[in-house]
Amino acid sequence: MLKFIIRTIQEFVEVNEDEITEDTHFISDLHLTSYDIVSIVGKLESSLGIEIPDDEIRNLETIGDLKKYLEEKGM
Amino acid sequence: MKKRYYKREKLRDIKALVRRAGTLYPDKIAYREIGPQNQIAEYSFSRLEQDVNAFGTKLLDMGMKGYHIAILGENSYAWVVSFLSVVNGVGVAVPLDKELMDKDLVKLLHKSDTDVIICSDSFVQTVKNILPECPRIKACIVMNPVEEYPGFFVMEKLIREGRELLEQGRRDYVDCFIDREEMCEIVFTSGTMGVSKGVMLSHKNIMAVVYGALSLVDPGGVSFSVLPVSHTYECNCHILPGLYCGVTICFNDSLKRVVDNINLFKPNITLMVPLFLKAIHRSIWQHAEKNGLEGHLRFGIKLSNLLRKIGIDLRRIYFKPILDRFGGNLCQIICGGAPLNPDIAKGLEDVGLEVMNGYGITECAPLVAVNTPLWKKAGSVGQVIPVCRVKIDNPDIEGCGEILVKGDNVMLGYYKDPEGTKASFTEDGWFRTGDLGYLDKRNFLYITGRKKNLIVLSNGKNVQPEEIEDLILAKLPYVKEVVVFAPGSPEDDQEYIAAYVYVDEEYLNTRGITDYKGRLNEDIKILNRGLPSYKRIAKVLISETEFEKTTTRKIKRKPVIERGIENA
Repeated sequence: MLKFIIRTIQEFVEVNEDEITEDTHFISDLHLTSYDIVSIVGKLESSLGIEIPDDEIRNLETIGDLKKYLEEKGM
Repeated sequence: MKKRYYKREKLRDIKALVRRAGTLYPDKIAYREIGPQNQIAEYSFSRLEQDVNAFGTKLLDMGMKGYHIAILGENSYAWVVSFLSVVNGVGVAVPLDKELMDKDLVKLLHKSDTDVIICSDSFVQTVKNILPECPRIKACIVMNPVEEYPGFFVMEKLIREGRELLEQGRRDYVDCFIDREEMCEIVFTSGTMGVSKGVMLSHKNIMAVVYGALSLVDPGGVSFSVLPVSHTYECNCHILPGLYCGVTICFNDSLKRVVDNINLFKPNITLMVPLFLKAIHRSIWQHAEKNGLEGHLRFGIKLSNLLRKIGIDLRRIYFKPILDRFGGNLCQIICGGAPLNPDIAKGLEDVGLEVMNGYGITECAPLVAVNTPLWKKAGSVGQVIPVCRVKIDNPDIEGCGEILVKGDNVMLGYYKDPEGTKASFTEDGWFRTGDLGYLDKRNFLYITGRKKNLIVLSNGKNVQPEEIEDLILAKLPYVKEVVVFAPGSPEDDQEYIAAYVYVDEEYLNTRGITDYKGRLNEDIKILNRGLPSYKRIAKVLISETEFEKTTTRKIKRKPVIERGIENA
């Protein structure tokens, strides 16, 4: 799952896979904007066939938060 | 050089604007939106006029004359009908930002003396949660409900009943006189926690912006609505001018699908904030790199720019594959809300997307200046619109000072805040924007910074650092001093909110806490959950020393922030 998330993020930002950990922060470490995060979630939704409500996106601050969220959804 | 403006009819009020649109473009599509089953719903200008009259008539029938009516929901036809119905003869509209947390909504509902709330289906639960804390609210109306909600009126049913009343001859709403000097809208400046101010706008203010914007810009065809319609920028610079020009406005249904929806609706014009332009610009170059076409693109731009210099514009042919990725018709983007990096604007113009950067502030309803295809200067925010004047207060040697505005677009004042209102105007009636800038000889306005500490993000949202600092100091007893800042500027790609803190080590040591940073990160994460996403702290820095102070023991923000930026 982590690799899948990283591959999706790499469509938005140039980043080396080795530099990403679960603690990597979307905004302060990857310099993604709030719009990028929403767009990444949109990509994940269409790839995985799930829906992530907007108010739950707010709580996703790190790669680990996103991974955990998707795992809890049974992904 | 003589100024050239588009000739526009000066309409008296928003009611006249709706009536004019219904008469001039009766069968034309005014709005398109994506329905719950992904079907496209379309509404004509005459349907809009009929629905506004029916809903307004019904609201008067329900005894809501003079009520303050809040509107909470996504961009939609129903939102527009609600807003227009309220301002055109019922009472005062209070558009609410859908990103606000429940506790902040409660504060704004109190502050605006809201009597009735109209919400979309997705906010029914929010309204249910906050209702016990808002005893003044007498009725709730839901737009497009997907199920039945006991206690909520259904907007579509009220419109049907309003239609019946009109058929029976009720004319009190349709024929009502609009006092164009009176408050018709309270719109909150930047959000939450008691610091946001309720800007009172009248029909005169709003129609001045519609007239001023359309004097400089000539929209037509199909446009795409992606910014929140609860903000004056989207409502007064897009929705209402669209009514004047008979533009078909297509509503984006989710930020997750902006590019997909641009491709679906194929607009030729849109209004955006710099955040979107940065994303579009980046995606163009990423796509070129990915396909090994970066060199081709650079060469194409160089050649195209040379040809443009001799009056040959082939951008829509040369860069068709790029433009096709954004629907194929998009050619004009009006940009505002935050500073725009001129390189991004130029980069988009190079491939055929004209960017018209402007400047506004909610208190000016909001437009003050805008660049146009005929009149533009790189780095400026354009010419001052013809309904207002701009003056620079106490200019320095380079002509730079606080931007003051006077004109029909300037607000009536802040709601129930005479002191705040007084402080925001000079003695001779000029509105103090708090922004710094200068005017050149041709009346082009340039923004150079902020007088106050306000952080302006590239999504157009404003963050008052003191607000977050007070929250940290109140919630984290071991934080002795804190300065909140944005290490990057909206013009670069590293924009986020950081907190630079000085902790009380003794407090933590006596409680056996040695990992100060770990504890802080944990606590900030919890604190973030109570903040809207744009106000969240993305990075925490710890200072080993106390912050520098002035003689009056105030933190010297500038050197502290400079040190913070170095450490970020």
